[in-house]
Amino acid sequence: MNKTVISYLKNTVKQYSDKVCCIDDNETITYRELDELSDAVAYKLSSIVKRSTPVPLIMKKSCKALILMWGIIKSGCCYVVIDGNQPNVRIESILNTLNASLVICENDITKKVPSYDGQMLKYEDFIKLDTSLVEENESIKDKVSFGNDIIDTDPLYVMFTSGSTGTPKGVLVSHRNVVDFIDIFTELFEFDSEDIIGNQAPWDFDVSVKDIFSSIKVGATLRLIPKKYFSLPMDLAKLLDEDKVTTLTWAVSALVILSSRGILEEYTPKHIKKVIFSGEVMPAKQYNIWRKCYPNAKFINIYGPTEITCNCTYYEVKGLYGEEDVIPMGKAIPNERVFLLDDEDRLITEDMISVPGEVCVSGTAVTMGYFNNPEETAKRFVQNPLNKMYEEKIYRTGDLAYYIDTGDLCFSSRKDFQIKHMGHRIELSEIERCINSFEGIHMSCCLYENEEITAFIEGDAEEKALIMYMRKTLPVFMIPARFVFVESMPFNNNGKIDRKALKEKLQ
Amino acid sequence: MDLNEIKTYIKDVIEESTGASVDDDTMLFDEEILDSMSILFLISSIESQFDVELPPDEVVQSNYETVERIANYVSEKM
Repeated sequence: MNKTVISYLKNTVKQYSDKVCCIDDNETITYRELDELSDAVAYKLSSIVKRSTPVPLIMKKSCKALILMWGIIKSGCCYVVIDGNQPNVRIESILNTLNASLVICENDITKKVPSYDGQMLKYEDFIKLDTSLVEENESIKDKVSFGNDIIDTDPLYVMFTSGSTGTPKGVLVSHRNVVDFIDIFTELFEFDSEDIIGNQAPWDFDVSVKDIFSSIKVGATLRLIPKKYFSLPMDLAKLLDEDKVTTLTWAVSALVILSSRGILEEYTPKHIKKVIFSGEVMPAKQYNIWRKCYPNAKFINIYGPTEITCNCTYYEVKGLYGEEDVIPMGKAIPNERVFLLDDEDRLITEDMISVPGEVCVSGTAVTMGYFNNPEETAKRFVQNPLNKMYEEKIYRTGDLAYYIDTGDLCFSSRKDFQIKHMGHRIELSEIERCINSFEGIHMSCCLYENEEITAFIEGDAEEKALIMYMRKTLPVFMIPARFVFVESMPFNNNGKIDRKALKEKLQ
Repeated sequence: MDLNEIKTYIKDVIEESTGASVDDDTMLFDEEILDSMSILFLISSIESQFDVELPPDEVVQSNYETVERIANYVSEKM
């Protein structure tokens, strides 16, 4: 039995020690190098930080970042990858939530977050670039054996997502959560050591968990694809082809970048065997373009929020679809229970075709909750209302879905005002809070229609100044595409902003 | 058309749409200034401003790396 993800690496190193583990634009490392160098990182770290402490890693994805990540894991701490390009106040908010006293970074983080007064370490502080690493690490190996005292309920990582209160929420995930998921994920979708996995997802998204741990478990090769390629689709297609990438576990929006502008049809990377997509509903038209380019590949639609460890349902997509057809979310991944509850917490059964209900999940995939945030945790991670006899924690996703006659689930909409935009999970209320805090604005309401965020605003403000202000707080993908100033905000009978009336203004 | 005029226009569009300030030789992708949305906006802006066609399969780093490169590329199309 795999107790922690560390046994993935240990097993693979035994079998594939000199095989290429990871490739970025600048360098390549083998499994043995990853193992030995991360030992050196863990050795130093374990004398600085207590086990189970979150250790922020603020750097771009790279072979070096992978070594640091595994060093953090082996030291018994949990890793937190933070995007250094997001607004400074967001980085500060995350560091505050984590109560971080140590940060591993590429650039001096106090330039972005002056209030941070903890320790800062760089890659070079762990690994001397000019010494013979293997020799140096032999001596470390004599002293300690890493990971043996870590148990499976220890935390492995924290991933931050948009929070409706304006503060990002950090989902805390254990080794058990990930091992349970990755064991099934790699078996179900037939990952093997021949695979070359093209990592699209930034590492502060949990899609990256599937790439990193699946790859290391089966002894595959992980090709890290820098973000810039997703703005340059022709370069992206060439990279996939030249580096013989076989497996894509990507956000729908990333796949669409290749298919929507004719690049995929004109220049089809030759080695793709498996395309697993999630994050949003895949438009049938885009899926068809992919399917026509790869008639023999496996296409799988998977669904699930970070809070239940990557995914909880899957659907293998075969053949072509009509452009109006919906690609189902499918059925529960083995060892996860996925069910629908109506407004009064009654179970919606499979025979109740088309009746929408909230997607709820139970099983070992349910994560540990939000780090340092018991209030938000209590709202979502709750006792199963159908079980009055013993404690059974479920996660309420807030997503609405319904059954079709095959017993598969289909996504319907959100219960609240969370949206998915360009692969990012966004709380519209977080944007509204930011707008409302700008001088002269009375209130605002954001709508998401036709893949565009529109902000309706009551008050006096200059649009350009407002945008400049918002950019200081919110990531680029959260800035509305349109701002509509209204004389007065419409209200419905319940005293809430009338979103329907606003929606009509959009037409 | 003067190359400097093209550069100024490109800089204005990028600065307006991303909030970043850029020079002629700022690395637009390595520094993560342009993303998949803002580059589309830039391309369609240039196409309508200068009445040129910038095909998708030529959207590669060697043509779009810096403001300087884009301006040269666009001027060849005119």
